[in-house]
Amino acid sequence: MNAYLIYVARRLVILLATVFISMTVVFFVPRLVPGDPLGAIFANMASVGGSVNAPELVAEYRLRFGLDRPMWEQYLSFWRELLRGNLGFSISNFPAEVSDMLLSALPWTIGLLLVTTLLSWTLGSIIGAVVGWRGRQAGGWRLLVPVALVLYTIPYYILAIILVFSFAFHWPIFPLSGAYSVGMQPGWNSAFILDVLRHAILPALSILLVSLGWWFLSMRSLIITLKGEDYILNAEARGIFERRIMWGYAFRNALLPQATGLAISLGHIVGGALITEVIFAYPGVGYRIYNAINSLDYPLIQGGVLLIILSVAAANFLIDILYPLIDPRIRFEGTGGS
Amino acid sequence: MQHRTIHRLFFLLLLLLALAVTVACQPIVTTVEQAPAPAEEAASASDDPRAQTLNVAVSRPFADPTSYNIYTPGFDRSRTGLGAMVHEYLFYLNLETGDYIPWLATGYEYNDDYTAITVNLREGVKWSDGEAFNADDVVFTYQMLRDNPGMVWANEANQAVASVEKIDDLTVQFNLTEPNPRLHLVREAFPAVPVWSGITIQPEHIWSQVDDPVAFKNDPPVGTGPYTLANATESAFTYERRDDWWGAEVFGVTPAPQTVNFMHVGPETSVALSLAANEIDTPAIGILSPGAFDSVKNRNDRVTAWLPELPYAWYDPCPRALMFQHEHEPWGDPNMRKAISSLIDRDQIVALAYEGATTAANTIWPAYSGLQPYVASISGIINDSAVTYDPDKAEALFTDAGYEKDGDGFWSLNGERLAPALLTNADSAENMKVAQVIADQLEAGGVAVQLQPLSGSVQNTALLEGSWDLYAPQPFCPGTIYENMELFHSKFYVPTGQSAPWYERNSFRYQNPEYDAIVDEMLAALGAGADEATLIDIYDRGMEIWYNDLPVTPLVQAPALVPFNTTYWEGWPNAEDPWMMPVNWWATMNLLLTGYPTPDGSGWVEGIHPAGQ
Repeated sequence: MNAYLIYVARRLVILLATVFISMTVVFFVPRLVPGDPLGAIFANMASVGGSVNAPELVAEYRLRFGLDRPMWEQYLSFWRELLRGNLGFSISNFPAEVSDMLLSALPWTIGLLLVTTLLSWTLGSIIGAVVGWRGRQAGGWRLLVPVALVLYTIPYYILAIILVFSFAFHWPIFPLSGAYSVGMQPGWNSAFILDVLRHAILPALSILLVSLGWWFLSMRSLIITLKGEDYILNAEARGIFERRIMWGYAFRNALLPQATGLAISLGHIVGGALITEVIFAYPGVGYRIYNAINSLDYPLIQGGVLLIILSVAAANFLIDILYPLIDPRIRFEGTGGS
Repeated sequence: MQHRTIHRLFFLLLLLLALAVTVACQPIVTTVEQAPAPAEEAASASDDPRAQTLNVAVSRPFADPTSYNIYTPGFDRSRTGLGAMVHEYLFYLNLETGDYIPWLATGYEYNDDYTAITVNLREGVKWSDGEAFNADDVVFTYQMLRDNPGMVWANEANQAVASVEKIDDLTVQFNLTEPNPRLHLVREAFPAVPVWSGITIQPEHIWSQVDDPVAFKNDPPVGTGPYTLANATESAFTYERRDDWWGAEVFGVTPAPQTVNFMHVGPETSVALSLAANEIDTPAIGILSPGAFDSVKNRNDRVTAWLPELPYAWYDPCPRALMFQHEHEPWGDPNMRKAISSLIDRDQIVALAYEGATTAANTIWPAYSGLQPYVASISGIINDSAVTYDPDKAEALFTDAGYEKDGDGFWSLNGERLAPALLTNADSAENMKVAQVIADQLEAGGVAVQLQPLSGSVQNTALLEGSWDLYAPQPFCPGTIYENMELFHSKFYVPTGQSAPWYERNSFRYQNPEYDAIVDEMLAALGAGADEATLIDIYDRGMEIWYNDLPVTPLVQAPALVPFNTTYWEGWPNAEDPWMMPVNWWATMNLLLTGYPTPDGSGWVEGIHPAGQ
């Protein structure tokens, strides 16, 4: 177990180094882009007939946000505040705090993407395994292969628009957009929860169907490959029930690469689903981060990217430390490779 | 055995589907997104909450629905509707009728040399928390702007207004830093709304308690307006009508909608579907293209616009123009500018980029009837100028300047190809379409133009600092005679590399002292109360220089395609009954709902009303 602890510690160091390097890059790169943090606001103001004396207002904000100080000084104060857990104020949405803006968007993103990712992974893996295992005997279920191929290759925003037109406009079963009805007060009551579920179905379907196609196809091809393996033939020769061979031998082995894929997908969840958020006017982190980058809102970019880096790094870290426990073939002694 | 597995899976899927349908069919009592009812039914059912609600669709979600401080740059007073629903202004300008409407004030008067303006406030105006609105609030607001230069328009207000004095509870005097007979039309320095918005008077009894007004969230927002903010989320700002609004007592009117939502329903497709499904009453500017509007109209005949057929649109006061960077050679040369201008086929821009929803422009003023005497007086100058499509003229101008066409058919000077960078704003669909058409036209005319779309802050900085050769299309606001003449004054000049004050405020770096003199003369004449003939004469002389220099070249009138859904609300202004601008993104929007007193004070111009009444 000692070797395992060294392995975990090593992974932890890599995790911290990753976060440090990425945050440094994220600090400097946006500041090297020629542009003012208030520029996007000005362009927006102009589009509705507004105007302002831009240079003077920009100067005021540079002062307020310390952007007039030398870069290294800003960098040090950035780390000082970050280590205190302070992400600062958003520039383009001042006086909103970055942490508040991200926290208010996060539940929607996690709610939508966690459920769809887990559901599509589970359904896709199981159906893929069954269809792959049965091969030509899968009957009508084999039709799922071309269906999944179509779903997987369809750009999911097109699918989203088709869903909106069909089930929200032509047959108005679901609402056109939003996370809940306009005018409704969020709260833990059945009316609100039902309303949220009703609003989530179309956005969820648009993500679910596309990713389902992918999990289905990858599981199916894994199972088909495994079917020809010697140990499967051996198991069959030993007279083990087919069902047990399928779930206990083939499926279990095929699950490992699928689990890696799942962990990586889960790590990316907090980045949000930008286009789904745009089409369904669904609140989430994706649009936040996109807007922050577009308007060079340095603190909000930093906060948003920190969130993504932490979750991706954490997901990778978890795979790294869990893998040796799940899969005895992966060794952590000596080289510490994975 | 696999069969059993598959059957189980199938059953599970069915179960999930059934659950989904059950959830979908749950009636939601408070929702405003119910399936549309037929128009006649909806109009008569006065207890239907939708029939008492006005829904405005906006272009983007609300990133931070927790602060309501109109003086922070990131607060969007248009999209949230706060500037129209909760706040009110001393005066409003009706661009359609020319009425200068006294609202929180009853009148104004300049002193003899236009160094001070005295304003009489209206009696009986109250803040939404019951406190009286009076001179102290006006004086306090200007002092706050003086103390906090980080507030929007604080610099502008401080530069124009030296101090504001309280004469009595209902009288204030603005002392100006220099004579200005136009202050009552300057939104950045005076609490009136000529276009978009103006200085917003805030309640002294609340804001004087605040340490840092720039970082103040102003929650809940207290204003004098007929509505109060009831709820704000990422997707909607919801306003409820106030029963105790001062105007009900003083004017004897109440706005018809009980609830007003400024809501984000998604991109153009979603807005079009929502409008067709009667979930939206009017979308904001720049969302629907003429094609989308056509398809909505075909599905729902209760949806109208300013004009019943193409161009459909109302003209907003900011015509579009192409700008030349005068400090980048060879665009300092008027003949080169004229050559480019002669290669632009404006009618083709209208047809291709705007789908016919506007008209070509040969001036930088909107085609409003009140401005026609001015524009008509310069028709001769316009005819002799280079603002119409004339490839032969362009060819002659290039040849005279020493240019020759190279092997690929592009104009070159001493072997160097003329290859201007055409910058545009990639975030705007209008900009992208127009710039692409212009790039094609210039290329066809032998100019190897390089289209350079940039986005967000990067685009903004490049535009203001002048790192481009050509920029199109740029709105020229606010569209009044003097103010648009003034945009070309060299007092707004800063060298390239530094930020210009604003886009159309000389980001093109034009300087001509002769033209400056005429702008100054115009201002003096306005101050002296000169008659229209005198003003037109000055304007004529100014335009003589302007068209000879052609600092920018006009492209098209600015289309504002703003659909109105008459299923629930009628009385919207249109070309037949142009009682008001059809604009929901300016602070004047509250007048669309309440109407306003006729200028002589004897009557009332009605606002919108429930359909069928």
